[in-house]
Amino acid sequence: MAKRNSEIKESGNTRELILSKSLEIINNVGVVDFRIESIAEELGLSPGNITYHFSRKEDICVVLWEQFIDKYKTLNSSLSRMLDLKQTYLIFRGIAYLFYEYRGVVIFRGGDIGAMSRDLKHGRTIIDYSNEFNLAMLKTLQKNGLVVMNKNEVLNGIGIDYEFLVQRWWINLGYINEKAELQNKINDYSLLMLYSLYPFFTDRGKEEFEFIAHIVERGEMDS
Amino acid sequence: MAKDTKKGGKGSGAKEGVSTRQMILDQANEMINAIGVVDFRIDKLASSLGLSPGNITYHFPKKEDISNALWEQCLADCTSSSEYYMTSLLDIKQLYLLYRTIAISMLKYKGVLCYKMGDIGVINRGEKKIAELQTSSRKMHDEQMSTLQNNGYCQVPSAEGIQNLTYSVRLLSTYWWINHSIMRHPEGESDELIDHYAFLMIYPLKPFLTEKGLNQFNDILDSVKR
Repeated sequence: MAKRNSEIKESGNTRELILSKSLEIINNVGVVDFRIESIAEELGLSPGNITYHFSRKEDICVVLWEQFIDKYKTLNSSLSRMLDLKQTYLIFRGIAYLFYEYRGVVIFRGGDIGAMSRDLKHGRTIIDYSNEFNLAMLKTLQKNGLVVMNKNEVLNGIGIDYEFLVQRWWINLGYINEKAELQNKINDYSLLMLYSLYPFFTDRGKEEFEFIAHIVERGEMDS
Repeated sequence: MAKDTKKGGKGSGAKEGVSTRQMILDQANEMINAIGVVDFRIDKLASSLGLSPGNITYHFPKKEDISNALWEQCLADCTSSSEYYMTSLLDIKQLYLLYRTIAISMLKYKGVLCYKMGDIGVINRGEKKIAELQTSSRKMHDEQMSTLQNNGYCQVPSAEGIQNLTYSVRLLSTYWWINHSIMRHPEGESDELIDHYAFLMIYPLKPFLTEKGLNQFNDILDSVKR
């Protein structure tokens, strides 16, 4: 019995080790080129050790994606009635760091028709959370006089889709533009995420946005 | 087009007017649109065309060469549609039609497109092409903005920071709408969806439109159903 417990504990550690090493590799080479053999080699294990925990590389990606979504949900639940654009910016910045941490996995999510259709339910969870979050955010910001929603529901729907598109795929563009420097540019890309609300801004919203943009552009955000 | 070549029956090789190379590309595109690039295999392609894998690799040594050729074709299509609409007469309606045409061209190559900018390794391999694409997109965006301003439809934002952000969000919506569309609407394509995304591509300009521009914007919106 004691032996069995220690085995479980050890395999728990191996599982964690495989996951964190996989994320590191995927963040460098992407999902397409990621191979079970390469993690095994990096960890000094046999491929069988890996497939004992994860039979295919897709299983590793799904678990990493679930980790990411759990953290994403936590970040999205922190809206207060006092919400303004500065706070919104900081929420986006938190999300942007999380995207960066899981960049290899996030960039590939939705990156291939076959992979997407095998795993559609998982991939779409982020759309549901993000749309719900954006709608709640816009409503609170509207109460606080920073945005105004359109009377036309079709236009609101397009606005929400567009927000999600920018808030989700900025990481692909950011990676293309910055490569290894992306970590130092998170403030700029968080501003890009905030800019997705721009068509909804009132004059006060625009003023507050320009204030934040000014700080970001001067590189003074982290002083 | 791939359907026409099939009429000749399997193994008929090059069909009149369509080279083997083009036949391979058309069939590959159809397969990639259905199953994606990751699962796409040269041997499956060969057997669906009634050819040997060697016939394929004679034209394209690796599957990556096929996806690159399709990517090139798609970009050429998009460039020619933007050249058609980009005149000094540009207004918001023409801009919308330009993006609608681009959206239709892109949808034809959806499998390849969503893959090319959708993975770290693939992005790194396509670095040069993507850089070219960025340069031409920036040029196109700046031209559109200044022409629309000259014609009284829009006011280019004075802050350089806002100009750059506007360019970035337009780039994002023009390239990655296809991934968004497939993720959000896996049931398939429709004219309504194309209208929706073409409108989404001009939506970031809304804050900068003049009254004349907004009137056209709202007219177009009335024709968009979802």
